[in-house]
Amino acid sequence: MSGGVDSSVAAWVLQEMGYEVIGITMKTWARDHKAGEKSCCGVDAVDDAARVAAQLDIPYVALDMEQVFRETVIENFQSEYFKGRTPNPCIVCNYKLKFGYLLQKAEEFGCDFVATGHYALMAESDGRLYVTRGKDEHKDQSYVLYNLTQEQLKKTLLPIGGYTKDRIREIAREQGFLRVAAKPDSVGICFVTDSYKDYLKGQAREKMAPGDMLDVKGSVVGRHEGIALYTIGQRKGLGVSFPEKTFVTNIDPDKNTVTIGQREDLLRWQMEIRDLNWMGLAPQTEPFEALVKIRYHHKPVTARCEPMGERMRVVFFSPQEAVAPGQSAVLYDGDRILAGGIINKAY
Amino acid sequence: MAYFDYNATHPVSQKILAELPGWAAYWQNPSSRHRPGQRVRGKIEEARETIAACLGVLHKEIFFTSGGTESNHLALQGLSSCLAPGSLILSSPTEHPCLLGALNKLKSRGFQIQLLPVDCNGVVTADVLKKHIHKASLVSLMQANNETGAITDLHSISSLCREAKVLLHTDAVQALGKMELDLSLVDAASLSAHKIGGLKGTGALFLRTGLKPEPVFLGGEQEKGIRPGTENSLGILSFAAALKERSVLSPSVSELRDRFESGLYALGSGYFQINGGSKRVGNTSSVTFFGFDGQSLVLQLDMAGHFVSMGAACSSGSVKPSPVLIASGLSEADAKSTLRISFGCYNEASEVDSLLHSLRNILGLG
Repeated sequence: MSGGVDSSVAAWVLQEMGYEVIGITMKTWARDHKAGEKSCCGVDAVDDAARVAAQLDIPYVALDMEQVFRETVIENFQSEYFKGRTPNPCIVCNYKLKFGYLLQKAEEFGCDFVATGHYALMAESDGRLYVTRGKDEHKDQSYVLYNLTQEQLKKTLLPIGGYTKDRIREIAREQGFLRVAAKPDSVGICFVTDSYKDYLKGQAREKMAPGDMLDVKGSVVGRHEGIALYTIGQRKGLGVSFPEKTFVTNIDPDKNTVTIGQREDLLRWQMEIRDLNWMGLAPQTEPFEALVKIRYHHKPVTARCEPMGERMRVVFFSPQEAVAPGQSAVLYDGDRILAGGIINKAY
Repeated sequence: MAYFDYNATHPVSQKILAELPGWAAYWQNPSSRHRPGQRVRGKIEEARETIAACLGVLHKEIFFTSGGTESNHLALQGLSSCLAPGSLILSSPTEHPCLLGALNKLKSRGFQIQLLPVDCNGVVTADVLKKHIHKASLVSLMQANNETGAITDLHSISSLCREAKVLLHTDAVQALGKMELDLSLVDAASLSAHKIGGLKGTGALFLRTGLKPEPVFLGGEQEKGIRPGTENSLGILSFAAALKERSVLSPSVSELRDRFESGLYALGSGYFQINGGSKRVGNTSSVTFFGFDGQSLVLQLDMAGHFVSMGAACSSGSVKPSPVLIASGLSEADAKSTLRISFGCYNEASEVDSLLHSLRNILGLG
C-alpha cells in the first residue's frame, strides 16, 4: 500500500472478495530525503496507508526497504544511464522488490499472495499464467509487469485491473478514503523530484565525463556534459541550436559521444532485445508476429519477432522513433502479454 | 483480541469513563471569578492535592502540563534558567526521545550535554555518575525505561547529587503507577496521566519548593505563571482519579508478566533473551527473538489478535533499531528482533496463554 488511491482500493476489493488481507508499505525513503516528501513510499505515504488499513481493520506494517531500494533500483538506474541507456526503474522495482523481496517477506508472514494496485489483469491458458491489459485503456500498466516469472505470477493478485481509474476514485470516496481519493495521480519516477538529470547531477556529478557531440555524419558539432544526461529522442537541453528540430539519435558509451540529428534520423527498423521473459507464450524458436510496445507511453505496433536463444530480433513493419536501449520491449497478442525483454540495441 | 501495549498507553480507566459524564458540568474557565468558574478551580485544586498526596509531595509542587513530553521540556528548559550559562548537564542515551530532544535544544543554547555510558541493562549506575558529577550542574535520569522497564537506582544517584549540590530531574512517566515513587529523592519529576488510565493530553511536573524555572510558554498566570494556558480540567480530574486508583502496580499484573516470561522459558532456551535485567517494573517484558524480524512478529501477532510493539510506540513508524537497546549493547540485528510486551490491569491469564501459544506457532517451536 503506497498510500495512494489504487493500492488502497485494491485492499478493499480483496477484502470484499473474502481474502484475509494485510497491508504493507514498502518504505523506500526516509524523512530527510527531499524526494520522499513528493511521492509515494515516504513518511506521509505511511501515514495515509496506515489510516486506510485502520479503516479496513486489517493488520498493517511499513517495511523499511531503503537499503534494498537503493542497492537495486537506484544503483541500476544510475549505472544504466552511465552506460548510455534509458532505464525503467519501475520495472526493476516490480521484479526485484514488489514481487521479489516483498513476496519473500509476505511468505514469511504466512501470506499466499502479493497483490498490488496495478491497472492490469491476469489470466491463464495452456498452463501458463500471464498478465493482460487493464480495463482502463488510458491507465493500463501491464507493460511494467512483463518480466514476472511463472513462479511470481502464481503468487500475484491484481485486484483493480477490471476497474477504471474513475471508478477506483469513486470507490475510495464511497469507502471514506477521502484523503487518498483526492490525491493526484503519481507521475514520473518516485525518487526523482525535479528532472532525472538534476537527480543524476546531484548524485554522481563526479562521474560526468563531457565529450563530443556529433551530427549523423560524424562531424563534431559541440560538446555534451556527460552521456548519462542524454536519452534517445531527447529534444530539449542539447545546448546547440539548429534551424530544424534536433534530437538525440544515438549515444555511444565506448566513444563517449552523443549524436544528434533530425526526426527522420530517429527512425529504426529493427532492434535486439535481451533478458527475454516468456509469459503468455511458451518459449519459441520460430519467428512470429506480435504487437510490440517499446516504452510505457507507446502505442504498440506490429513487428516480426525472431527468437535467438536468450535474445530476440524484432523487425518493425513500419520504422519507429526513439527506440532506446535500456527500455523494455513488451510483446502483446491483443491484450495478452506474450513476452518481453530489454532493448539491447536498435538499428 | 488482547492488548499487551500498556507502556504505549493505558486504556481509560472504567471508573473514569463512568465519572466523565458528571465532570461535564465543570466546563467553565477556572480563571473566571464567578462562582461556576471558581467551582472548577476548586475541583482542579482538589485534584492537585490528591495527586500530591499520592506522591507524598506538597500540592504547590505539582504543575499541570499537557503530558510527559511537555513536562520533560519544561523541566529541562525551565531548570536550565537556574543554572550557570554553559554548565554541564548529565543524562543517558536511553532516555525518551523527547528528553533527548530537550537536551539538544539546551546544547544549541550553549549548555554542555554529556550522555553517560549505561550498563548492559541500559541504566546509568551511581559508579558511573560518580566519575562525572563534580563538574555537573543538572542530572536527568529516567526512573523506569519505557522500552525495557529497567529501573534506575535513584537512591544512590540522589545521594551523589545532593552531596555535589547538583539538581536531579527524573522522567517518571513509565514508573508512575508501576512502582513506588520516592519523589523526595529528586528535585523535579515528569509525569503523565494516560499511562495510568487517565485521559491523554494531561501531565504534571513535580518541582521541589524553591525552584523557580523559566516557563516555556509565556503570557499567562495559570500554574503560577510556570505553565500558562487554560487548564485542561477534565484531563486533570482524570489524572487524579487514575492515580488514586492505580498508584502502584497490582500484583496480579506482575504475576501475568511472570507467567509470560516463565512460559517463554518453558518453550525452550537459547532462542530469546529478556532485556533490562532483574530490576524492572513489573509489567514490562522486552524480548529479543534471535534471528526473527521484530516487524514480522508484530504483524503476525496482530493477525492472531495480540497487540504488541517493537520498542517505543513513538519510533514504531520509523524502522530504525531502538537506540535504547543499541546503547544497552544489543547488535542492530538483535535490536530489530526485539518486541516490547507490556501488561496491564485488564489483561487475563488466558490472554497470556494464548499469546504464548501464538508465539510458539510463529516461532516454529511446535
